[in-house]
Amino acid sequence: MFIYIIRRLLWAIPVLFLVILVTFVMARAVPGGPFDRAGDKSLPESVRKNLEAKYDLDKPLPVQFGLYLTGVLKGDLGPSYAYRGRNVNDIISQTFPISAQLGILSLILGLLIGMPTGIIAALRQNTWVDYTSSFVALLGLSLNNIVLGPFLIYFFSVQMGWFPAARWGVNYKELYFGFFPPMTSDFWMHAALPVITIGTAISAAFARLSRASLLQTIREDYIRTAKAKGLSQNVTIIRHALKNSMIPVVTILGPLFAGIVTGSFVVERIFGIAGMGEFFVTSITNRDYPVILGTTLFYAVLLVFANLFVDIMYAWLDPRIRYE
Amino acid sequence: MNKKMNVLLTLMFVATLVLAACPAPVAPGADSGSGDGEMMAMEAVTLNINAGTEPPSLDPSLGTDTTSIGIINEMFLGLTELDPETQEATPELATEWSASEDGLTWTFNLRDDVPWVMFQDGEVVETGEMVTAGDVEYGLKRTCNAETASDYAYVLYIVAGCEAANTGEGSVDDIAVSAIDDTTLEITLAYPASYFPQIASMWIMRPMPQAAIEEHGDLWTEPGNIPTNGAYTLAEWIHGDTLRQVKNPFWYGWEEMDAAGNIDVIDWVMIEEASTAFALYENNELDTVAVPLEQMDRALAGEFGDEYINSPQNCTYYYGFVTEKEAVSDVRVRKALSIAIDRKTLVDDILKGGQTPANTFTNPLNYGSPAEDTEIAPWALSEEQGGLGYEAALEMGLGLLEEAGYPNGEGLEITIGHNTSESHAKIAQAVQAMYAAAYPEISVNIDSQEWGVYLETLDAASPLESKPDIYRLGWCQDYPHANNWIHEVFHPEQGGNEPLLSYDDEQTGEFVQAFAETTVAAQTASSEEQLELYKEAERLFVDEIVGIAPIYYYARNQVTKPWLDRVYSEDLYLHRWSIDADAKAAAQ
Repeated sequence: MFIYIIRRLLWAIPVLFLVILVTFVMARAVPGGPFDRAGDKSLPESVRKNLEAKYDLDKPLPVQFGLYLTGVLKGDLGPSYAYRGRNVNDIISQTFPISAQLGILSLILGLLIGMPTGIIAALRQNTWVDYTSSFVALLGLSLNNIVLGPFLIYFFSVQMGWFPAARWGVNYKELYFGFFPPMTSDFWMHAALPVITIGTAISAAFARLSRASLLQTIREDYIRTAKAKGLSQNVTIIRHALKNSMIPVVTILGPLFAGIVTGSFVVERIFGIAGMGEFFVTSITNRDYPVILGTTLFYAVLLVFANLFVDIMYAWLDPRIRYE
Repeated sequence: MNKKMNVLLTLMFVATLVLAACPAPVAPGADSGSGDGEMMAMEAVTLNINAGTEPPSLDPSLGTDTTSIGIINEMFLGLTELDPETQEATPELATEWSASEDGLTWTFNLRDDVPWVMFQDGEVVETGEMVTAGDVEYGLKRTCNAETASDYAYVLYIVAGCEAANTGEGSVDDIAVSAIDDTTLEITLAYPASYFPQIASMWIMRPMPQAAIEEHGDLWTEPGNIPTNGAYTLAEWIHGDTLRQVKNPFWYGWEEMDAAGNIDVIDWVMIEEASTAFALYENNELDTVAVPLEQMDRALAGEFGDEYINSPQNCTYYYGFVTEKEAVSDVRVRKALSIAIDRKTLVDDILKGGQTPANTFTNPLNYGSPAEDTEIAPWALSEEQGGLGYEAALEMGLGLLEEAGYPNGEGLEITIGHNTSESHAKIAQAVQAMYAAAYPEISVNIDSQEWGVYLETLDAASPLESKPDIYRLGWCQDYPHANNWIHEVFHPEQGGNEPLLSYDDEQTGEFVQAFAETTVAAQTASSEEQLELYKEAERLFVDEIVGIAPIYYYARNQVTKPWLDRVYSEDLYLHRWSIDADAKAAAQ
């Protein structure tokens, strides 16, 4: 197992190199550059040249790539072009914790609501419990964040005044170890609406997935065997069926985790949360190459680790899976 | 292995919870300073306002957007300040100024009572240095310096030697700005320009703190590093989230200026979504905010009463013609297409934001603008504006198309290009429908592109085939003078020249020549002569060459809480705003 993990980590190096290379090439292949204009104004050639010289964009592409790679190896992801004076390391270290808090809380909420709902629906298949929860899950999936977010703000904040309308309850200067938020009531009040917004969609997805997966598992031979040898319904389900039926859930959990902790552009924008999500989108419109590369690379690293974690979980969930 | 993994996972989970919940050691970064700030803010008169976005830079040499400039304006004094009403240059750091007889050499006399200040340990303190003419000289040279890579350096090309320094052909030392003594600054221009005092108000030539910039490099604009000299200084900046400016008690204006306001603390938030910002306004968490599109119907129905204010904004929305494209190479076609845009209907029924139909490029808020002068493109103006009105103008348009060989638009196929955005798409579709109604046989396509791609398409150097026949763009002032508009944007050599104007054009070549000469002549003309020259230039450009179809002049739609007394102008002028703190407290 240990050797397997080491091997997987070593494999990550060429994977990440490819990610950088492909992102670098694709970002440059898109027409337009970062300094074509300021707003609607075209910049004179001389001004553009100064800007390009400052950020080494006047050098040949392979040289630029080499410079970038050297920077990455030293842990320096370069400066942002759009936010002069800020660098990508700062942007990630300041915005990722906020996005991760929002993402993890949403994920927990999604699991807490989605999993039990799906399991109960599966165990009570084709009863009103099943129909109701399936209907609600479908509704939750169909409700777009763009609709749900503003609705929650309007109803629970502007009308009822129960929750703050926007912003996250803590900023990057107030975190413990640069990551953990102080658990004040202010934090939870601010977290409530955005977490519900994202959590709703996640719980709906988990409910549907765990229901389908459990239904499949309880028809397996080994479950019938367990019942046949006289195990009670509860023991059969909890000890044998449930664990195995988690495999598809864990499979999507990996990439979902990497995606969700790096921020949701839409929800962070609607709630005015200073997270990482917007940088994935705006860096592309801004042609802010170092931010495009830095956020993509960061996301890729998370994804590599999340997938490794998923593979390890497989071995734990299903005794038949073994890694050499 | 099962068990071990189990234990490990449980431990990790518990550890996370414990760490997350552990009662506070002092949070990193939350030093005692900001604690005091908190205390101060509780008693202080506080303005809550939305910046809309993280300011891309607080460096006066580097600011390009309204958010950054709005914040910079409160922290660094200009040589001059533009009057919020008339937009004329009025004294700020400079008490008076004069030009030599040839209009080239300008001498500014500066105040001697402006200290550099900083926010330290919860209060604003003097650094011990006074602002001198040398600081302005340094600031101006820094903007021109190629290494600074300032986007707006080109505006200062008007100062002799700046262009050479910025293009690397000359030395920064040769830029013609010099501090004669601490309170006298002399600037020599590359060409005479009566509007220079307006340029002297711009952020790119403010006094800048050389020592701090050299010590901290790019990080000099962070709180704790940044010395300022304006009405407010920077106390806190949480990137992407909030920014706090506090009153500089040493600023002379609090005593001297009748118009000075009473706000102690400006708390900026950075909410991009207009509807969310509006929700904060409704919750009394913001004192003033822009009205989002979906709330405009409520605003126009009077639901917000006196809180709603519509005011003109110094920007113009226009459709440009790529004059070398076959379809619009005939000036008669261009004019017919400009005529067929029903500006009044567009503004009243589609945009509904209080905009004004435009017949010129230069917005009326600028010196030298002949906007709504009925001698220029009267077909673009409604009857109420004294123009022809749409019906009468259409007759003219049909006649022009017939002459050009496209009766009723038959055989004419054009493409309108715009950058992807809901509002631009709406306007393009409306214009498409107007064209179809006006000239039944015409065929109109709409092509939208992502912003960066779109800009590359429009660049004068890009291949003609890739360009649309008609492109949409807007322009907002850098300084309120016609030179910043008609000359800097459309002069065939000195502007961007997206319409590809040419002196060799058979139909309009002469007019292009005359147009180019007129805008150049206007630069050196007296203020009175300028009015005539800019009117002529605008007439040539919009009515004879038809390089663009001006569509509308922008408007701002804002709501303001009754306890806030604010200025509505191009800049914010926050140091002139006042809050009735008791009324505000009562509402919260």
